Amino acid sequence: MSIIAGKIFSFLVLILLSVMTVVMIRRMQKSDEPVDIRRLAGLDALEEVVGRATETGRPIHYNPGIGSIESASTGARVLGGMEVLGWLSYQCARYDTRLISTYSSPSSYAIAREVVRNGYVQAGKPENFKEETAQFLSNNQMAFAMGAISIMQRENIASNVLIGSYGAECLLLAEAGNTLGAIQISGDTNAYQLPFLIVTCDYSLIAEELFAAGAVLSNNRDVYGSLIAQDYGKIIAVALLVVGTVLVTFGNQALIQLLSW
Amino acid sequence: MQNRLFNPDKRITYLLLLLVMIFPLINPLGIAIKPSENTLLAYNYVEGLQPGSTMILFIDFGMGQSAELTPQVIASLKHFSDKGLKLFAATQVPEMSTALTGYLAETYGAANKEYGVDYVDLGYFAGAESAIGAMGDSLIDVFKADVNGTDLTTLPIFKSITKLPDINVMFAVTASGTIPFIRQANAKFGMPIIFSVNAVMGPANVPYVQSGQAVSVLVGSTGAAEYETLINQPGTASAAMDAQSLAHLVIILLIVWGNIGYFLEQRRNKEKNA
Amino acid sequence: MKRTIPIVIAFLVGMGLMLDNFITFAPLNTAAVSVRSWLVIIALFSIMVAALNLLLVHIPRIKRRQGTWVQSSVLVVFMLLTILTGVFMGTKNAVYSTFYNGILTPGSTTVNSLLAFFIASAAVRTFRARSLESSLLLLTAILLMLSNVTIGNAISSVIPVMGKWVTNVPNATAQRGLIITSSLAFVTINLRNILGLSTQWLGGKD
Repeated sequence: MSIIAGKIFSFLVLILLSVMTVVMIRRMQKSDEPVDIRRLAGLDALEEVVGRATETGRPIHYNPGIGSIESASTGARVLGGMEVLGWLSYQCARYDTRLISTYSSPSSYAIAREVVRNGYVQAGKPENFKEETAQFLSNNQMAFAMGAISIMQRENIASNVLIGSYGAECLLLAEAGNTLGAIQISGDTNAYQLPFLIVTCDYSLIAEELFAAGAVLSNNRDVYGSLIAQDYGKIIAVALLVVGTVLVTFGNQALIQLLSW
Repeated sequence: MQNRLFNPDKRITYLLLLLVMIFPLINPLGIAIKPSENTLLAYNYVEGLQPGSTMILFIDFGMGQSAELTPQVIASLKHFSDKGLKLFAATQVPEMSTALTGYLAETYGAANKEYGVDYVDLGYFAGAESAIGAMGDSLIDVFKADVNGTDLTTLPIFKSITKLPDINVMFAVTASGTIPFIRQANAKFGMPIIFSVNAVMGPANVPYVQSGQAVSVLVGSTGAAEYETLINQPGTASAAMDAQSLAHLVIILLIVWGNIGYFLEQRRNKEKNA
Repeated sequence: MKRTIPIVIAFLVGMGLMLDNFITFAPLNTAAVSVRSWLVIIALFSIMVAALNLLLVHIPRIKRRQGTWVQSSVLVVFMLLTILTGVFMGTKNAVYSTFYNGILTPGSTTVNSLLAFFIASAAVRTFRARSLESSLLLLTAILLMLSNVTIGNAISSVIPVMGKWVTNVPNATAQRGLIITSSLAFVTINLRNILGLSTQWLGGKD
């Protein structure tokens, strides 16, 4: 048994990240110290989203995009969106506000349905959960977008929450929401679609803010722990960048060789 | 009144855009197409391949993006066919299996290349990134048969090819992301990858070209038009360039117009408050 | 037990596949090959689940003649027709090709083409030079819009050069930052799932 040549450094970094993640999560689980996360406008606006929908008697629409849970890159974003969905479904159940959530990925739908139903159960109103609260539309991106838009228009939604993993359909959904005058909050880490979401939505959670929002809403100390571990990881990455830039500028290839070890 | 003049109804914007896009399709302006650095990188890399080299094509876009990415697929396949490259073609999007067969018929088939010897249509495969990872161990185990149901082990093109690293280069046409291909092919086996992506994905994939993880990234229909120019076979992308150019120009003019209105309103408000 | 078994399976499979990327150990590498093939089969099942879900949502609506039951009928009829023709007549027959080339292709490309109009209206509505930052954003957007099409070079040969610099230097730098931070987030989140520290993927609260 041996470590594949050229991947030793990556392997060590992975072990370090894993240890940091576990240590930080355990530390957060054991301590009661409050976590200070900077103000996120999108997060603050979520309460406004529920309030507006409740006052106007119109529903909230939630959609996590076309990403699937089983994919490494989209799965994390969809799960981040599920944290928000869990909070949203609880609030909607509490205030008897209609929630309509639409899905493109079968795996996301299966998990989201449970998350939404759980929100209603926790609010003490399981009988209010209906099938239309979580609807699978289509695996096809554009068919899904059109289905979601027609639901948004037919139901005349008050608020549109688009937090998850998106492709081109995000612009269609957001622009349709804008036409309806809905208050819109978006969140994604995908650099391809962020510009469209920022331009069309009232509030946007950019990149990691999506995960931070999930942590704050779920008040889950484990998520705080992983956020802190990420921050330490970023410090290490920045340190490597600075050291590497200086070394390469002076013609030293040591760090490049280390990274390729 | 001024507000309506400088912030016109969306429908006026849409109508203007529609008109400027239709006009050059009927009366082409003939604006010269100059290949960019990325397109030249991809073209020169393929030019440098020896006849008989192997290429695997992945179609990773849906019908919605086919208008933008199909011209690049066709132009590239024509180039690969002219260079005598042996092609393995597959798609991870179920609805694109039929389209893939059409692309191959239009290029390799039309060039009278022999199926099973010069190219093979592997059709749809489920599992996306997991399947690409599994191809690193065995292509035959993932696909078993081609799109016609023919056992892959009976096809001459598979004589010396058993797994993904045996293939010389990958051409991934994707509208969902380049990272799975980089993770499973380039990071694992150092496989050279040429990407073709839609226009919104172009800027985000520049770091991969700069780091050497991708040979090049061909961007949208502009990249396709440039490629068609390089292979001297103008197609649908070249025909659409004038329309795209005028559309961009109109959007810019509308944005500037809106800003003029904004500044006039700001000045009026200042005078009112003064 | 209902949650413990999936968590144990996730841990074993996740750790195994992760270590397979880094370690040469014949039993692990052989097992990983099989598991990756199994993942392909599981992905196929998820498509079946999706089709079943569609029927479970729309057929009750048709039975009750409620809401958009007409559209639901159209969906179910075409879904079943497509499946039946594809399975029993093959994907090259005329009926299947008509669905594909006559309905799916033009429908999808038409909807996708709406993006051009929507981004135009969004950009015209949103791009205002309200501050220094938004002015810089506006100028950069105009530069890149011109440099990414043929008319930019026709107006001035400097435009593509400046556009290339913006794409390759400040843009690439920012994208690298996004890639690094997003990757770190994916690693920690997926580690939480693999190590069983988060069970949200099982549905319900952690």
